[in-house]
Amino acid sequence: MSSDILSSFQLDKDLDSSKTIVVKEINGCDSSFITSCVLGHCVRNKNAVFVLSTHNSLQHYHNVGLKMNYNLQKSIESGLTYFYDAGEELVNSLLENSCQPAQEFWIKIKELLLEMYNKFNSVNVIFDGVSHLFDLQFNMRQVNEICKELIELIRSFNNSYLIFQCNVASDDDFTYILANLLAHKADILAEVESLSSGLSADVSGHLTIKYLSNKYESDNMYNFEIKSSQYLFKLFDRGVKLLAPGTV
Amino acid sequence: MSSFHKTSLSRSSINGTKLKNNLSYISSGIPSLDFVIGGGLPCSGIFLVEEDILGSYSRVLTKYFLAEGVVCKQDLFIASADEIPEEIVKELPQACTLPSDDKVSNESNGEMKIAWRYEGLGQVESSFGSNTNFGHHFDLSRHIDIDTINKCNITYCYLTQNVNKIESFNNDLYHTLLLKIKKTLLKEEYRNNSKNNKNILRISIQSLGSPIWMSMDCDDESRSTYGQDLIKFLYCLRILLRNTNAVAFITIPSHLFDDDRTMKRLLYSADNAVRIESFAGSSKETNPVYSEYHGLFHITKLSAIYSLMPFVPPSLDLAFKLRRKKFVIEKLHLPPELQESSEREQDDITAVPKTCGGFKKKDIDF
Repeated sequence: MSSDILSSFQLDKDLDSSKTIVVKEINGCDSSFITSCVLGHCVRNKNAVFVLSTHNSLQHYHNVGLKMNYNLQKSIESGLTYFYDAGEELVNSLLENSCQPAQEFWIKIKELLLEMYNKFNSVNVIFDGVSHLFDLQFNMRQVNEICKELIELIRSFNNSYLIFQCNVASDDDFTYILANLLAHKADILAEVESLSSGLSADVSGHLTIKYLSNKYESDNMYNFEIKSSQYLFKLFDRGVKLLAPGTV
Repeated sequence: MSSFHKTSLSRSSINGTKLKNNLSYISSGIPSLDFVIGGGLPCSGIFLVEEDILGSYSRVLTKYFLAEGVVCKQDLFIASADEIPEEIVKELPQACTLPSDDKVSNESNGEMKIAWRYEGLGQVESSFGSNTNFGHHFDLSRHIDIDTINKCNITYCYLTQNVNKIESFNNDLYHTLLLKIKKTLLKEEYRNNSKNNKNILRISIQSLGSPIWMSMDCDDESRSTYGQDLIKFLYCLRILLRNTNAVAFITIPSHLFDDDRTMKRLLYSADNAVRIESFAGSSKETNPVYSEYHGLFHITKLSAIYSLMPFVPPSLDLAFKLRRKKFVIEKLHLPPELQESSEREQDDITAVPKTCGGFKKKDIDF
């Protein structure tokens, strides 16, 4: 059930270069299903993956994983998956009244990533909840710096992908600016949006995927705007199904 | 003996909880609210209630939440900066049993026959959670006696401002409250993975974001940090509650906020959220469409915790009414038109048309 997502993000085939994917969560939509699908793919294929999470807990991903037929906990024990609970660490230092500087935060991530890369020769990264950094009073410059460094590091690996999940609270907010900044650097941009009419039992939301890196390919040299793929998605306990608009 | 043990069995043994998706759920004290948000409040989650303008119904919701904890012998943590928490506890409603409507409906079934074309249709269920045994009903006119309350393990937290300057928050109230919650949560019995003596901690924070919480933000001349402390607080609370058997029930007077942005940012950190819109003082109070209800009930966020699939309520057009023994959330219906009216002239065939060439009552044969 996760193959639809993997193929639309072009993650089901071997990568010949690094890739940055940005997922914008619009209108309060939750995109953790993308993380669960990608994690499942990594665990099954024994690919090294680093989850940098500020939003969902390890318990959440583990329990979802069990329903989707993979065991995240076992993968963590084997060392192939590293779950870095950044939220907990930052909140603990905040409550001790000592704010952790952004630079220190990044250095720690970098060390962990390089260690994994040296071991497995490739490491995919999922950053769940980038916008929570603003909640912890990181400013735009600091958040942008961390994201920029992360993108550059993954690009230098040349065989890994990086997924950012960025919640957009409203159009006049920092989170919106950050999502656009990240989208500017992304190879693939996915916009996940809940239905404006409310919740529905038939469809969980809209998914628009824009292949931004395609515009540099020779086929699209004379196209001003690359066509985006639009889907409706429906979440199930065991995965997600993508539907073309109008086919439910 | 088989070596296979279902680990979840030990978890569901906490009084007043049920298990769904390998996660314990507790009742909010209102069965219909439990139903519309997907079976109750998930442990280690934050439930936000956006208050009505006068705050009267959100207070009732808090009382139900706390009273349910007292009945199920769960621990309580009550925090407020506006009211003294000890006073809130004195007015908790007492549990009661509702008179069942089954007898009446059975009798009437024998006498009345449903037209054949409607027989196959399912029964219309406009009031939710009426046939569940999860959660209790409470009588608002009777209060739980003080002895019962004294037997409960209740932590009170009345917040007053200090002069201490805190680095991480502008307003030290947030920091004080977070530290107190953290200290309370350190107890082994609230850890999710503890083996024995497990219990639930119900955390209630009343009117978080009221002027006493937000005044420091307004002092700042640039106003760029408006609501920042509150957003930070809620995120920190989300992290603190992770992997614990605690549930936070927070009421927020969002109508007092300067911008919509703050609330939208807060919703990202909350797990489930609802908004109460009371008719008191609004034009809807006299609108005959809403005559049966006291207000509208909006569901603003439903999360899927430990699962991919979020709960979808049967309807999003919800309204509530408060009775002495019941706070009930229902699907919004138009009231039945019982009075005969001849507002539309063309329907009234006996009326004499004003134009010539019409017919009179005696001309009709049937």
